[in-house]
Amino acid sequence: MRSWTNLRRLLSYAGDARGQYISGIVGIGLVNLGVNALFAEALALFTKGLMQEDSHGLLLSVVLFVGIGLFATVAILLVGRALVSGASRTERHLRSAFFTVVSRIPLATLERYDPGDIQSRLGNDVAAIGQFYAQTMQLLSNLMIGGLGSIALALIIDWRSGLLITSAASVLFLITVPLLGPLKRHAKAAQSKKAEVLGQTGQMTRGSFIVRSFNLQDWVLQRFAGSSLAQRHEGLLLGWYDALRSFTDNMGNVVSLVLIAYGARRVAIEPAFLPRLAALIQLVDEVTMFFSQLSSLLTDLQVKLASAVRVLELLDEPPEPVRLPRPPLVGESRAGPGLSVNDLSFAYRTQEDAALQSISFSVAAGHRAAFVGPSGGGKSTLFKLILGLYRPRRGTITVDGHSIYDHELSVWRSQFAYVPQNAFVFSDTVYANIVGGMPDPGAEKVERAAHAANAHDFIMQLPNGYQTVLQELGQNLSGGQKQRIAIARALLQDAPVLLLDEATASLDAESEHEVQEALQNLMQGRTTLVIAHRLSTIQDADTIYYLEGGQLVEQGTHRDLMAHTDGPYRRLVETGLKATSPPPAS
Amino acid sequence: MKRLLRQSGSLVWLFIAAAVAGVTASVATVAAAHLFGQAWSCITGKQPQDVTTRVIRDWAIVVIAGMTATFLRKLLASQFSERLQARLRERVAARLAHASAEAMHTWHSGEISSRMSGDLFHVEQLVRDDIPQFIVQSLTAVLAATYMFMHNWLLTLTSIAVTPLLLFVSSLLAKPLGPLATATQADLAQASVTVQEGIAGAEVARAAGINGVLQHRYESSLDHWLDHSLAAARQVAKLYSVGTALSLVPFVVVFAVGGWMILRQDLEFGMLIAFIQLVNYLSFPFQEMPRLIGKIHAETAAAARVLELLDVPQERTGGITGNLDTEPLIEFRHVTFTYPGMPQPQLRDVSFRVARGHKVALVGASGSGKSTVVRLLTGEYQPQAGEVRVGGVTTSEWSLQALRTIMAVVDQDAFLFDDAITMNVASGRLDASGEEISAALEAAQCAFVSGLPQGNATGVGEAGGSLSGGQRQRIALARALIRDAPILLLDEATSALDNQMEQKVYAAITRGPYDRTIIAVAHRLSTVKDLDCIVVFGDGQVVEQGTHENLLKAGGLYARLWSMQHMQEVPHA
Repeated sequence: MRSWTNLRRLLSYAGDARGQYISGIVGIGLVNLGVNALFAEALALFTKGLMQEDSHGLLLSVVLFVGIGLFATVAILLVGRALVSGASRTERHLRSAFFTVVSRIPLATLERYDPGDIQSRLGNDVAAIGQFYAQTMQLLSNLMIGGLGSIALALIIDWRSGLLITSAASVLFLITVPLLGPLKRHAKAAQSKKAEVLGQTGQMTRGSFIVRSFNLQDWVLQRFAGSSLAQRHEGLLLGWYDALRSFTDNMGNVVSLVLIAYGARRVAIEPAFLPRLAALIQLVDEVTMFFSQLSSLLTDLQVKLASAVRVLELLDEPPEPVRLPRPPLVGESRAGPGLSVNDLSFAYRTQEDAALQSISFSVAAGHRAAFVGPSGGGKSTLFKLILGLYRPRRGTITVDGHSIYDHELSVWRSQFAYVPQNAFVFSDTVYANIVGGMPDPGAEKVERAAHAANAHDFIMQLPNGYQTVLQELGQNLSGGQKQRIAIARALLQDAPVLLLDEATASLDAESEHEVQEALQNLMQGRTTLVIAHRLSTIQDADTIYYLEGGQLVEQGTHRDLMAHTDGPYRRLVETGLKATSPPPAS
Repeated sequence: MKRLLRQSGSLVWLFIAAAVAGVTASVATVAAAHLFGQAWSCITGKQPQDVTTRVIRDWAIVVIAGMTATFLRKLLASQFSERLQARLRERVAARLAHASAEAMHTWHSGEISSRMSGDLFHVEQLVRDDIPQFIVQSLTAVLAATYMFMHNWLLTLTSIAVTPLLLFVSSLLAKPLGPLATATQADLAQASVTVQEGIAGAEVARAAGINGVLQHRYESSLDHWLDHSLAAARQVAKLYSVGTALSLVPFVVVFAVGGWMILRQDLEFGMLIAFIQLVNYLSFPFQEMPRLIGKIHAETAAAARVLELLDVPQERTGGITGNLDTEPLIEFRHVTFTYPGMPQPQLRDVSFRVARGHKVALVGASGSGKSTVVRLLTGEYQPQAGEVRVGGVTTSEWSLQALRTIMAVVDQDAFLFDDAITMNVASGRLDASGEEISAALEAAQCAFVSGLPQGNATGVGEAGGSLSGGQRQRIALARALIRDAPILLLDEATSALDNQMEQKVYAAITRGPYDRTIIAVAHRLSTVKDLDCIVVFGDGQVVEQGTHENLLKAGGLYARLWSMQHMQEVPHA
């Protein structure tokens, strides 16, 4: 029942292609059935003509044969085009919906999925559904309209013979049914053993240095032989089942044989049965095809439905709300200018321990706050909450007295410029990357921002300047260059509050200097929250917050905190410095 | 192909048996069609009942024989294929396991994997499906054609006259499909890049409102995709249409021309029925043969690629053993070494000595030749000039197996086998007991394993996704420590550890149970400043060597490196 619903939902993506697609699907089955019915009729006429030596009837049947050929050729052209085009248009709608969902679901939902998993749902599962639209549906239509129709037709022509061929074909089909389970099981097992053998090979080649240095040749070969033997075992078994299943390949011959054996007796008593027997012979192929392909259709449907479940699961994720709902027991806040966080708590899942526990602080307009502490302490989570990317469990965030719950998220976010640790650029022109999601402010402003971000010079050295298209994930730029583009984007946004996640990875000395200078320009006169890794950045902050285990453990200026002999901040600064004690005078 | 047969050895009988079964099936196919026609003649010609019955009985026997032959053909071919594949992959594995470093250096591991998966799969298809099918199909076509020509050559010719023309038309129609398929693939790849960026940059895309831009780009990729898909759809529909004509025309012709011949008493009705059964087989040489031959060609090439792996050069065996009491234990004398295929030597006139029990660091910029020293010490490569002596014997004379028994290596990549942690440690010394494994893990500062879901029985996972780089390095270290070898080679073995952990690890190693000789390639100078001697490499040469204090006093490259590292390091938050 569930799979029926999923099937219908997949087909509902046809949208404006619905008429075309349905006419294609139904049409292909009808053409199939029509050709078979007409062929059967023509064969009956032909046989009758021959038996009665009626050249007129014979001529008529020959004309009919030629007519069927022409009809089929033209009809297939039309319905085939409707089917394939309809399927492509339907697939396009599904693909559009896929990205819409990926870009609109809350960040927390997106993070539940492995990025590779989403790619695989798009790359493999959506592609499989594309095949479902084009091929599975075609087979379904051929079997359900063409195949079942032919069975009905056989029964109409002569119910006893129709019953005979249908039951003969179905018996032969039923004999192979018990093979299908083991066949599938062993095919799967063989596949996994094969993957295991490949894994072993990969280990042998990638670890060849270790294999040689530790004299492990015989050890790895022994492991390999075990997997290889298991693969061979599964492969040999699979060969047996597959060969047994091949008996269905000749099903048509057996059914014809049964029909002729029966027909020979019948004609001896009732000569007028002959033309009908000829018509039935024509239908044997279609009837046996119905049974022999039924199992492959079912297998195929199963595979495609599994893909459907994986895709629909993602498509069913609810989108981010337009405005964050106010958590219970959170009242209107009264806070002054600047950014203020009050009693903020957050947990990744409802049942888990809080990732942030009642965090409160405020940053006055134009001031700078630095956040330090061990990784996993909650610094990045705090930033995501401030941006409204996660939904707080309790507490509130305000900017200039207005709380996050009072704004639509898009408006709320426009108050922030966010520079992440790993600068994100997308494969478009440098210009488009700096402009980001804003309306185009004009080349002059973009260049001014690039200048202030120390990015203009290197941009002008790119092959097409600002119109240079960046490669996938900015592979043609260095880390420092990407960061300066992100800084230019933030400068252009000119948002009142800056959220800066300082990069940990060290850049080369020259880049480092350029980026630092650009960051100084960016922080100038802005309310700034920075996740800091550099001592210089930390020392310059008006207040330092030490976050550990989701709690604010210490806060104060550098001087205050260093005065605290046993404090975590002081320990952090000292262990950091320990490894790099100044060189002895030389 | 010949080499493939040679590899199959006694298995070839399975293949021959499969071929015989295939030939039987072909004969049965044509005979069944003939008897079908005969039976039809009996019915329409009002033959006596017993004649009809006999014909039908013969027909039944032939059908059953054909089914059995097909079954045997499939069974035997699959058994042959599986056994041949197993034999091939085991032989290849044996070659790979004993391959020389140089050979593995030239063979990319992805290339080997692709030959062992994709190409071996092609071999499977070749011997299991395509060759048997080629035999059966072409033989059936020949038999059917002979039978039909013998009975009525005119009807035979007319029925297949149009087929080549239609095939030509369909090949013309199929031509644009290749480029269109490439185009749709490229469009989808483009769209997929956008999705990837939407995921990778999810935070920024949401925070800065870039999603709209991405969506727009995605939709425009899809527009292109749809345009190309619809163009392909039009072409595909035409192909469907020609395909239908291809399958219908021979029947229509047989009925039309055959009917006329029957009226003129030139043909029996039964023969016409037999023709209908056989006419499809005639189109095989035109329709399927070119594709099948092309496929067999490609698969034979794939087989050659698999067989090439059997020629991978092997490491030398045999040799002598040095004396570990020799002083100095390790000596590089004027060693110059160039990696195969590289224009520049990696080491130039390198000389240094390591006394037994000393701990020596090799430092210098990346690419200066430090790791190469390790590769030469383990006998992976031989220098082109000069010599590397261990225990008084050059590495070219040493038995490689014996040489590696006295050494334990930890490399930068910390390669681990896809197995439990214990198994990985035990691979350092295969007869190690459980307690020894625990002790080695402890010495290598692997306290973290007790926090893993299954403790030290936890699998490290393919590509070690579940472990951090530093954790992997420490497990690799445990594997080296359990070996309890007199010489320990560390090739940036602790690069992924933080300062404090690295200090602890070094303290544990250098404090070892007895006087172990250690050569450590290190990047972070603070780690190795207390070792007995520091050898500084620059551009493939030994620039200076001495203790930390002496080198700083000398004010050379080492002093420069030291002050540079000091400047760069920042508190780790």
